[in-house]
Amino acid sequence: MAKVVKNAGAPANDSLLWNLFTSVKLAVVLIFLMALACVLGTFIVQDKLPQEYVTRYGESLASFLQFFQLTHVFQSHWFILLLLMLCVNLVCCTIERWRGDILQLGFVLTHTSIILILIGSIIGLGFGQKGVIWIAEGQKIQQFTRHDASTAPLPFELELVKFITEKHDPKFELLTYIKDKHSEKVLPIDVRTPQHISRSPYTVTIKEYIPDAALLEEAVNNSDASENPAVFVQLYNSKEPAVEGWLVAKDRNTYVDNKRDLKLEYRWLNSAEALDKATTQTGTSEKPTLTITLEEKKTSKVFPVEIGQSVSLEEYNVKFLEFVLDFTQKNLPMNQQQLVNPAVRIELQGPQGTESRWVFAYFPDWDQMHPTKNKGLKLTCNVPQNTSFVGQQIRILHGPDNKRLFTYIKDDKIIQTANWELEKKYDIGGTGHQLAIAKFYPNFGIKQSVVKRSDALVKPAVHVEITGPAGTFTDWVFADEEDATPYTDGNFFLLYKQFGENIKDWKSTLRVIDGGEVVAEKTIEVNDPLKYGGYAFYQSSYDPENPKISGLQVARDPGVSLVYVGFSTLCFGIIFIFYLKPLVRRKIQTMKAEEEK
Amino acid sequence: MGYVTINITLVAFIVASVAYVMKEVWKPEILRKGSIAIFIVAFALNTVLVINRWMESGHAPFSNLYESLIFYAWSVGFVYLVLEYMYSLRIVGALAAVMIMLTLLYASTSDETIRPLMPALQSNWLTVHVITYFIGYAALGISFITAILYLIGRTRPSGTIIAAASGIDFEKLSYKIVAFGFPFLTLGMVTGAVWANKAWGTYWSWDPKETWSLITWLIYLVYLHSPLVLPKLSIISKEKRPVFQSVCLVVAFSAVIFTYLGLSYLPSASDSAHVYQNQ
Repeated sequence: MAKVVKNAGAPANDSLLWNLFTSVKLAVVLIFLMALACVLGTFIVQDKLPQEYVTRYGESLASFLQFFQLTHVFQSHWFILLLLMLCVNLVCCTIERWRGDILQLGFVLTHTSIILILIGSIIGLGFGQKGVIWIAEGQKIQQFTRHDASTAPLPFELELVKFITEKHDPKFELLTYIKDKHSEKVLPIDVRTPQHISRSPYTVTIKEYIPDAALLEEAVNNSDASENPAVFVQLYNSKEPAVEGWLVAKDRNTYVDNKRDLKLEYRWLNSAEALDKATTQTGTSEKPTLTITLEEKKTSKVFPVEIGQSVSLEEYNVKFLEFVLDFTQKNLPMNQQQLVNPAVRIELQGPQGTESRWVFAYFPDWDQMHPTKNKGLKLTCNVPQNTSFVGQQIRILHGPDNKRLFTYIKDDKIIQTANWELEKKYDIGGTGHQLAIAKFYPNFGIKQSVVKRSDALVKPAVHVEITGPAGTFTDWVFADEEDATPYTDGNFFLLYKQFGENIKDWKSTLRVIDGGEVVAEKTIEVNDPLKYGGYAFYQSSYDPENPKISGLQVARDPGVSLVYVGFSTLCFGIIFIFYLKPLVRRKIQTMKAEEEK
Repeated sequence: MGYVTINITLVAFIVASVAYVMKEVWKPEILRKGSIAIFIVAFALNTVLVINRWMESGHAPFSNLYESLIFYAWSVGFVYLVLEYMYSLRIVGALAAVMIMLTLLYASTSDETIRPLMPALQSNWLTVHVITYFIGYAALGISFITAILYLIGRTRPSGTIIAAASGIDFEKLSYKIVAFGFPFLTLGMVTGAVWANKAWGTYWSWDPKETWSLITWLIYLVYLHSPLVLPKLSIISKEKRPVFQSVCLVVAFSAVIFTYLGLSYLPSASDSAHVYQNQ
């Protein structure tokens, strides 16, 4: 019984191979080896860059893994050989054992199904294509990116008509954190009930809860003492919309308007001399400076940047050639540049030769990382925040004895000086601009208040009172603030944040254009692809940076139908073997028994 | 609500387990049907737990570890009752109850926050895929119990509770139970592949969970072919064959548990779409 019945028709010299491939023993060995390969393929990380294996496993083990293709187990030659052998083994076993018995139906179906699945997957690997598409709303595309980053053409055009992201209602949780214990807890939003944080000295009371809160800032005058003077300035002209805002003498006292080529300044002056100086001297804004440091001699000197001028330190000579507020936009006129990446171009003469180079204010190490002729000196450029290169200035001045003056300066010349009163409009030179100072607060302050915008859960906030070893502390905590709100002792924190998967679904309305005509249109979502011309497009992702860009998977797999036939055959075969065969066998036995009677 | 029900269900399964053992040892008349009755009550409580969770979360309760454990416990109860009806498992019920109890105990320690489903999981295929798999896993869990009982019965042939139930050939029973569960395991794997193809256009991508489900399937495949192969291997004597098969089942179910719960320990786990986010 243990012996395999030899196929009578098989030639004698084939019998060894035939015996091998018809043996169940080989099948079990192959199955076992496949299982082992799978185990290796999950315990060794797969399909990573060579460098990653070296850092993870060390040089020698990494090259061992690479040599035996253990870094790509499921694409390795030996694994594919294993599958092919299994395939041959299955074919042989099925032919060898098939005797045309109905009870063998399940056996034949299950074994054939595996062969079908393997063939189908090989067809898919050989003739199929897979990749991704990132497409913006309104965009038409005729190619996709394969997983190896190469592009492949599509035989038709694909257009994204519309892309929408559906979101779940947001959920928020208020977290407490005790720093020295590293313990985090969720605090229920239970208004007015003091909640003690167990095993800690802290108690939190939520005094008020607003589901959709906004922080309002309002300018107020705290007293009539001139402690923090500020003016509310309005600037009109016929062409552009009015600009208005507070200028605070001790704080943000300037406003630079590059578009109007104008700077507004508010100065509070304590003495008549200072007032006089401010009205008669043009004295422009702070200039950028260049610091030359000679590293060996440990000397350094600061020079104002003045284009066309030369300065020198020891054996070095520097000529200022050009200054820009934004290096990337350096071809724009200066008054149209914003203070983004300021840089000065210089000509440097030194013992090692003459060279021209840029010195960047925000990237002081730039010249260290790039080849230069002259070593041994370090150049740093400092650009004050209020640096401006506008041609016009309006100074609003406030002196002793309630003296109120304003001056208009153009190209370093005083054009106009006049007294100002509240709420009056003044024409500025021949510019067409009108200036008005609407309010004056001698002691300016900002009052913050929290207001409710709606009843919907959008941006909740809680007004909390924390009591603990450092007394009582109250504050508003807003959802999704970047930093946690600390209690006075610096050991206890509150953080209100959104949690959970917020995306409910993505839907892309896709249109297939073939030969200039729209041949298919469908709104796809996750689990519901569009199929056309052998290609299928799956909704898979979205661009978190741009809500109008949809991420699609593309697949063309001519083997998939064979695989599906294999799947159904497998399922039916297995159900037959384990559920139907016993019934069929019983039926046959009773039929036989009846015949014998 | 869930917290209270889970504890009551736990206690009910402990009572059921004790009742089964008492039934086998002292054979009191009242427990002849009584032990199964207690098991059914415990199972009903577990059913309440599942349905309650389903209604509360608004989706089939298999989306996180807590939900899936509760559902696995239910599946073991369900499959046990079916197999009990088919094959009369007797003492196996005691260990099935213990297994359910341990599962619920694990569930009670995991995070039960309801979180919305990520888009790919919002599919009817999820329901079919998980239900078939869990019925399969439940049956294989019970075959693990019978394999263990066989192995214990062989090493300590007399005087034990197992001996009291000696009317059962645990080796044959194990094979029948695997035969019941294996088709579900296959259906689970195939529905998973079909669903993946519907969601991503790939029916198989060697994701760690996929690979490990294939590994478990292959081990059970070896077990199912073992009656054909073992007689041909002269190194394993006839008496040792059932031991080999029972050990194979223990290994196979360990692989099931690893596939279900252990994947987060793999270095490749972070790339997987399957690992429960148990935060």
